[in-house]
Amino acid sequence: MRLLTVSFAVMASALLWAVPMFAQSDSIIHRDVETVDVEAHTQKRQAVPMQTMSAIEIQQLGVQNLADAVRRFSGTNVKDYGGVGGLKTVSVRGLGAAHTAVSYDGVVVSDCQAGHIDIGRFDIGSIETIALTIGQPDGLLQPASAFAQAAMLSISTRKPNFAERQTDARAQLKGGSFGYFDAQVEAARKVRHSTLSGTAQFMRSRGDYRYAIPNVDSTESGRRRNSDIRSARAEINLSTADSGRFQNHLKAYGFYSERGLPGAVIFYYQQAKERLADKNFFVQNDCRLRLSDDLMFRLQAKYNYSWNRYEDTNVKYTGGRYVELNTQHEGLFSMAGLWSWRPVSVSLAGDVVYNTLESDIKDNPQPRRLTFLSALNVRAALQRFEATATLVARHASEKVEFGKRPDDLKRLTPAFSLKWSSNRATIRAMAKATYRIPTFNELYYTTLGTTGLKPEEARELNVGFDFGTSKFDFSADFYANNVENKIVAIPTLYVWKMANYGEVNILGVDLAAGTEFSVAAVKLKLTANYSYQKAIDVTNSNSKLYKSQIPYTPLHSGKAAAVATFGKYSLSATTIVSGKRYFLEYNIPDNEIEPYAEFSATATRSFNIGRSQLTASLSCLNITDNQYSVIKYYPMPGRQFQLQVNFTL
Amino acid sequence: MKKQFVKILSLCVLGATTVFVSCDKNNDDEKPEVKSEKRVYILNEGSWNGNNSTLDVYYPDGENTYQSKIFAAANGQGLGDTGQDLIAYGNRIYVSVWGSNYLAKLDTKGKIVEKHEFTAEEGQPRYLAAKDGFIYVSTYGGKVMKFDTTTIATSIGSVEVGTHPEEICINGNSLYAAIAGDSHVAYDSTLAVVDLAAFSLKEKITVALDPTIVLSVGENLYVIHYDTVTWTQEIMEVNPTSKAVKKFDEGAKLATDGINLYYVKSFTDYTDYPNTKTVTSFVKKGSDASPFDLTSTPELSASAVYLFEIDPDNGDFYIGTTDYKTNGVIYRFGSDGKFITKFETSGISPNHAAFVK
Repeated sequence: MRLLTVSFAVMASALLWAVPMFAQSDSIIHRDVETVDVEAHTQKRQAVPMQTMSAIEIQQLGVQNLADAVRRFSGTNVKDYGGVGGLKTVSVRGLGAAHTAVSYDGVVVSDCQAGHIDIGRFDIGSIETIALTIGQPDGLLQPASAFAQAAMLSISTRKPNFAERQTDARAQLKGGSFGYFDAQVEAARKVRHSTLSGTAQFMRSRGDYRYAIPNVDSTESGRRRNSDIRSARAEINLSTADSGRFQNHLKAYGFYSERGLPGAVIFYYQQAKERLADKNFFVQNDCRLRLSDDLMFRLQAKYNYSWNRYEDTNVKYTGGRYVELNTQHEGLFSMAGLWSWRPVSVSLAGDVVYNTLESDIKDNPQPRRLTFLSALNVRAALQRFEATATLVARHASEKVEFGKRPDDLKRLTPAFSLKWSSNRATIRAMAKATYRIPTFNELYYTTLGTTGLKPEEARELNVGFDFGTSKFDFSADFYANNVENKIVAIPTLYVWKMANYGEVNILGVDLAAGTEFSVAAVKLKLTANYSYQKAIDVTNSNSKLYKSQIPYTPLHSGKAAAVATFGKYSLSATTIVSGKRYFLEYNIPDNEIEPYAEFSATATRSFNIGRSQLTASLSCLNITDNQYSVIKYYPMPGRQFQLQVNFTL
Repeated sequence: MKKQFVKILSLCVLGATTVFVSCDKNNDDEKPEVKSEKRVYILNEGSWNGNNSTLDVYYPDGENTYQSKIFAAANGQGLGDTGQDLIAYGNRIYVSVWGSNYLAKLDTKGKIVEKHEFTAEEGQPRYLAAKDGFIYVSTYGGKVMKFDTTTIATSIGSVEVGTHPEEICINGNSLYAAIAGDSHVAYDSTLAVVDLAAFSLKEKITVALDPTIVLSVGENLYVIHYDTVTWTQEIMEVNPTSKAVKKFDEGAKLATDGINLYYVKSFTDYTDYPNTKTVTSFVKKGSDASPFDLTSTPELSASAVYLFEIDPDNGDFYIGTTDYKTNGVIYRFGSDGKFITKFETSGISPNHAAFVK
């Protein structure tokens, strides 16, 4: 099996180079090529559910951060520990956060230690589009890793807009309640076919917002302590494009942050002293080649360095302090090719990824993981029908300095999708099997880790349709998911250990509608979505937990937004509503978290200053000062104000 | 556990402690809601970061009635996060709450009479013991702290005993603290011996790696430690005079009726890991050849034991189980090992019971 998967990966790579020789140049442009070529996706006409948000919407709606954007999508469950620095992870349709891949400008971001990605650390100010795809991206020319997970959150940063000039510059200032301040500048210069751009950003927040939490007949109130954050980020991009035949994007990214971890509100005792510092540096290159209208290639390479330092001060530690240092390295290389022979197109991608973790955690065996990942896609398009079959193969092996290591992982997983589309409507169906491999923490973390863990399985089924005109659109998706061999910490008489235990069945509906119309000179845009999600534990029919709703998963949730644009003015109102949830597995009233509704409003005005443009927005977030929490005892901020000024040269 | 011994003692010195009780500011003028019969207070630990520790009371005589969450009812606010230990002493209930970082003295209705909040230097509280009008508390500041029952607002002394002291027990004029050590650095393997008269550290007895439970029965001390190689909990028998240490048996929890050692055998089978299986098989009285078989209660025998206490008055024993997710279940057996009843508590992981007559 090892041979099979490795040779599959090698073959994939070899084929990529061999095929050009046989390629025929007289083939006709395939429709698919367009979908893979264009970064800015559209929400409709996809074989899988996909939702997007653009930079304009982000500003008009007063979206605070990436987590705030993603939680406005339907079917998502953002675990937000509150505040600017609080951990924010995204899970989709009842599957854990580690089942969602995150890509940044086309290249997948990973964290082999924690598994999930803290989406709070990506800056919202420099984003051009955010796209969340359930299943896998519709485009076929992707690295194999894009097909290997249950959902994908794609972040695309802003591209310079030169108009008729050689230089583009932009500055953004944000300030708000609880000591929030964010400044960033971006400058770009065009040199023949290339664009060189640089971004620098600084952000800080005190995060000392007030909270009030009911405690039987009384209320625990106070300010969040140790909730401050400082971060800085810099990016350099070099993009080269040659008349659509050749596109190359080289990016270097550096990030630093230092924050307090306020922890849960513990009644009668607030002495949070945990601190976390992060450094992240990566350099990535994403290259696309169009050899002919029906033959395209994509090459990606990335080196990633991430470092964090966790520190806690408490008399319980030897010397009164506990420090943990973790360093991860990642090397990634990916090749993908797409051939079109109408009506069939085939893509083949092969990734090689090498990950290491160096840690001073007690008994950490300094694991290294080598992964070969291949994905084969075959798509047939016949008039209004389109069918796609995907096969993903993975071979992963690990090495450790001492102790046990997991067996090599060899897996093949399939996915199928089908769509019928007309000018106004699409009907779609998708079935996909994926899994997530155990993280380094789950495998090796001192007494907790277990090297015998198997992957956590996820299966997705989706049927849906969308219908749209220029004024109105509607989509409905119905899904059934299943998670098996869940990777969870199991308590024993004395220690907690990781184990594969548990099965969850998820049934859900995502409905979304939007309309755009004008009243006199006012343009109105209304959008709303509703999600129903029944995610029940079906592990053991003798257990008290059998058929109970899994924690942090509301049965009903919904979002709505209204934007009115009048000339240079725009006004928006948004709401996010969530039904009751449970914070523990046992579905009793003691474990309920109250339903909540959050309302926000934003006013935006643009000014023209010569050829330059200035946009100012004022937002009032959580207008009703609702004291709610997403994660129990991690209160969310109450009412807050934010002012944002954007200047574009 | 060691508290049973303390409870026996407390009965003996009831006369003396009544003096302390009468010194307290009490709500004697109010008609107590609790019935004037024997009460078993049950502490539910709750879940980590859940602020969901609760205190219940069970009336074993007569109607077998049960009152949930009496602390919340009496105080209008919850116990907080991670109730760690509970003892009854001199008609008062003492509870240490680890997460919420305090020691409280409660009346029999569960109402707070007095509270001590630990400073960062003192460290968060762990386990309790009482003797001669004093309450002793182990803390993660590496201390055993001493409080006078007349007022617990400030401590009247503390002794450095070692890193992460866990359970404590009293035998004669000595207090013994199990020193577990800092799991991030290295486990300890000693018992700290505190001379109660001088209230100072007398010596350390090396027992076995990572000791957490200590109970005094007759001449001997019994210590449970965790064997990281076999993943089992072993009971060590320690003679505090000769310092002789030997393995006694495997077991998860200890209790005494004041005369005999009782222990419950509960272990998790990892042979088919990750499909672990927890088996709670019997309660054994000392080295008695015929243990009380628990397999007649199948639910109990498939559960992890978290509470094991003996009613000092009649020898009934109480076994509480946990799955760390749903409310705990308490199984009550007679002193002859016959199953009497079972009931669900108001919270997760019931860990300690205290008896008041």
